[in-house]
Amino acid sequence: MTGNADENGGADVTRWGSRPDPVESENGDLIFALAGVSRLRTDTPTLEDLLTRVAEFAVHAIPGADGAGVTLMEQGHADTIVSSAPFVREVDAIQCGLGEGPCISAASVGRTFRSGSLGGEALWPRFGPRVGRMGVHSVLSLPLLLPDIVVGAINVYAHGKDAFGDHAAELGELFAAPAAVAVHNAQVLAHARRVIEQLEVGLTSRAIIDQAIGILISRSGGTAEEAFASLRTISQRDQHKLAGVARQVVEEAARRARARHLNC
Amino acid sequence: MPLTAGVSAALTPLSVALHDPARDDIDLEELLHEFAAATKRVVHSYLGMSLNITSTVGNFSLTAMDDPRHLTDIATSLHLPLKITPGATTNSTVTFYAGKAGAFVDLAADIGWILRLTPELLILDGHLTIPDQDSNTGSDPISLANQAIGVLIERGHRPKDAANQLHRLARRAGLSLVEFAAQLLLDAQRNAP
Repeated sequence: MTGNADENGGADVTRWGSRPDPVESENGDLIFALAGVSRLRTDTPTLEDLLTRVAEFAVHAIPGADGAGVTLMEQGHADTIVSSAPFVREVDAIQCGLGEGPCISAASVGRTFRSGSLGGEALWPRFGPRVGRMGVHSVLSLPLLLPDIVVGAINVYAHGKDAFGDHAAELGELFAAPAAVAVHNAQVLAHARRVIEQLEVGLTSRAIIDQAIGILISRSGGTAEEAFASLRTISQRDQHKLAGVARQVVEEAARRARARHLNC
Repeated sequence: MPLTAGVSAALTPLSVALHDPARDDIDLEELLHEFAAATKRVVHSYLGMSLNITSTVGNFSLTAMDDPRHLTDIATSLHLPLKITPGATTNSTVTFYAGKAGAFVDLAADIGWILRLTPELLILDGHLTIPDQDSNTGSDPISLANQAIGVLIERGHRPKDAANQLHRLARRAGLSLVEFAAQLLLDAQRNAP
């Protein structure tokens, strides 16, 4: 993968691998989908939004697809699951509930799984018939692979039987390779957001607690440690968040100050 | 990524502040580990990161390196803003460090797209030395300032004005904010009823 950046700081399509023959309409769909993956900036402020768009682009890229879902793994468990259509959501919910299915297989062994007749699929004896009765008969499950880890899977479904041939599988794998990197980069951002958000909440909470400590020091003459201990005792006794107890102290002090001003 | 004592010390007061007796505690160190591990999966030469949050009463900085022995091996960096909380009065940034030139080009491109950042906000290779390790300021100076704000609130100042008042009083006294805050707290202790 090249790291070429255009003038606007994005990346051009060639970043995602070699360009297929644009004459073929299927490859044209792949180019569109890859371009879409590479231009998610205007549409994807959250991880779930990005993954949903990846699922939607997968439907464009893979001939025969009626819907797709993306599952992200975190520490070996399915963590984030999105879908391009309601029926995919139902299918993936069945898979999660049973602990059996093509996504689980693809994510656990890191290779593509395909079936053209889910109703009679021996690989997934419980999942297959249930999904077949829903009218979903074909699946193509593509692992999202980084060099040393499977970060999830893209699951593509079709109502018809034998919808995904070798060519569809090849196109799917071409699409999944750069999608894995984009998806994982989005995960990095999601982690960053989580850390920063908790640090900011922690700092805000700490600020309120420290203000309450200052108020208690003014009233009692004690130390900061003694004031903190008082707040913690109340928090544990009343089963309230420490920051919540502190906020009450600060708000009560502010009310008293307002009342003093009014009485002046 | 083992966290240094300095990083752990900086995180401890915040973890305490997040404590909710009705729920499991949020483990900030674990969140940091997961963040670093996720970054290392896409950037194999990842060496560490610095986080910086600026608030009205001070700066909270944290630098966590994968291995302190590799401080001189930084070949590339990626610096970007992460203003997360809508309407927040803090500005947050993260700086990543890696040992191989160009390692952050793809990550920068993807994050820039998702956050709709203009190119000048994504700075590649502009931070090739890490902040002084002692700059894990943690929240101690901020704590002191906020305790002093509490004193001012108790003395009748409105909470939203108290921070500005603290800065004004410190300037008038010719002291730094932290020095003045410490003096104010001592005064409050001595003069408590």
